[in-house]
Amino acid sequence: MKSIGVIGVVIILILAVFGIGGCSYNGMVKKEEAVSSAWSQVENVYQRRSDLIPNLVNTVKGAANFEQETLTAVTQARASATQVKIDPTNLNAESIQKFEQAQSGVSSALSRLLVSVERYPELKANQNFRDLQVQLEGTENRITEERRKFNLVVQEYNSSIRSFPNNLMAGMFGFEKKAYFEAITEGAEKAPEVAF
Amino acid sequence: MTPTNYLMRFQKVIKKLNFLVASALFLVFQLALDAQNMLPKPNPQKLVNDYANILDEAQEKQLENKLVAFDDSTSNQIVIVTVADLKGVPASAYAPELFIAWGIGDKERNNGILILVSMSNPREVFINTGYGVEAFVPDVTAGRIVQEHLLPKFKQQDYYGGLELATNDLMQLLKGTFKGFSKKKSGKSGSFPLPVLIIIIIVVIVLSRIKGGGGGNRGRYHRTFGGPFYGGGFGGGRSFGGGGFGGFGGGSTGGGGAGGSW
Repeated sequence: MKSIGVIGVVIILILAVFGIGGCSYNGMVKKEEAVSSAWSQVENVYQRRSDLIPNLVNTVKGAANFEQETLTAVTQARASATQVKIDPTNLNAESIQKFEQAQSGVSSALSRLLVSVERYPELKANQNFRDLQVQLEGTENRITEERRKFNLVVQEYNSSIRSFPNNLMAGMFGFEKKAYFEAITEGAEKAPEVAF
Repeated sequence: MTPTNYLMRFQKVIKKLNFLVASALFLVFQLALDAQNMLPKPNPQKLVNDYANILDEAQEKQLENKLVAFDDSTSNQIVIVTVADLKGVPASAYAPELFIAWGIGDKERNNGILILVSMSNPREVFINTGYGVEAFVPDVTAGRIVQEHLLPKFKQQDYYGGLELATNDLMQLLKGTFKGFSKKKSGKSGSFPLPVLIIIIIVVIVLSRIKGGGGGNRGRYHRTFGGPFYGGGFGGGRSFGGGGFGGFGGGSTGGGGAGGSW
């Protein structure tokens, strides 16, 4: 009779350990998935901006002798940014910084373009250009928003893999700390200021 | 050390400092957004929240009634918030934070729209669209509404007139997109434990057997247990038709939309 009791206690203990472990493991998987999906949202909004660029360049090109270098800079920055692809399972500081640098190249080329446009009143009055400008502003706002959301879910994930008892499981199953977005260069965080 | 070496060092230090200053600014901006500047959710929850006092009571009521009726029939939530001062935070950055904090629109459909009017300097208005309505109110369309309907009226200090036109535009755009309530369970029901659900179903069946099992009875129990399943995530239950506004549904936005200043 005694041994049955002991076995019972052992079974309950095993179940408890597995239960807690299982819960924490599943929790971490869920949080990691949330990070991946937030990352794909970040990529989506950057892609959205990238998709706007050819249209913008063509519209601006139509304006009487618009300076060619500014346009080339935008096209080139876009081309090099689209080459930077990040594996969502490997979101470490280095890969995020690489992505960030490529994208901030696009941001600064774009803001230079928009500054130049100020000198072309007929372009500023062009409805097509104004629509593109609105879309660009909306996209910059989306970028800020998705980056913020990404940082939030990464923070949640990071603190979950470092707290007890998850940290024991995290080491065993290879859950690694993920990196945040940071403001690397001044202006990277701010949308290019566009005045109507 | 040669002078060029010194110069290079100096440049490095400057670069570091730049980075530090930029991160500090970013942090301050984030904090300002996260903490003291966030408006608490109105209690009772309303669709028209005139904190800047630019509408009179009758106008506020008229807009509220119109938007509540629209929410009741289509589940699309259009919310108007006016604030006196955003303390330097751009309306385009504040709007999504507020949108998500209040949970405008349905949690599954994300069919909310926030019209934020800021009377700070510069005065700004921003139409912020939820994820689910981006396809029906693209940024360019939102921009047109701002440029052609909101700003001209706002310039004449006819705030009600502008908001009346803009809400009509938005209602027209959203008409026929979503109907009634979300079919999917929303809010906390996603994590509703299955065993509890089974027990409730058994209890309902047993009770209806005991009572002799008429159709009317089943209807009554359905209503009793129906509440929590349809309940909006934050508002704690939506009212079914009639009366006031039933509460925000936990919707989210990606920061889409357009704005302008006057």
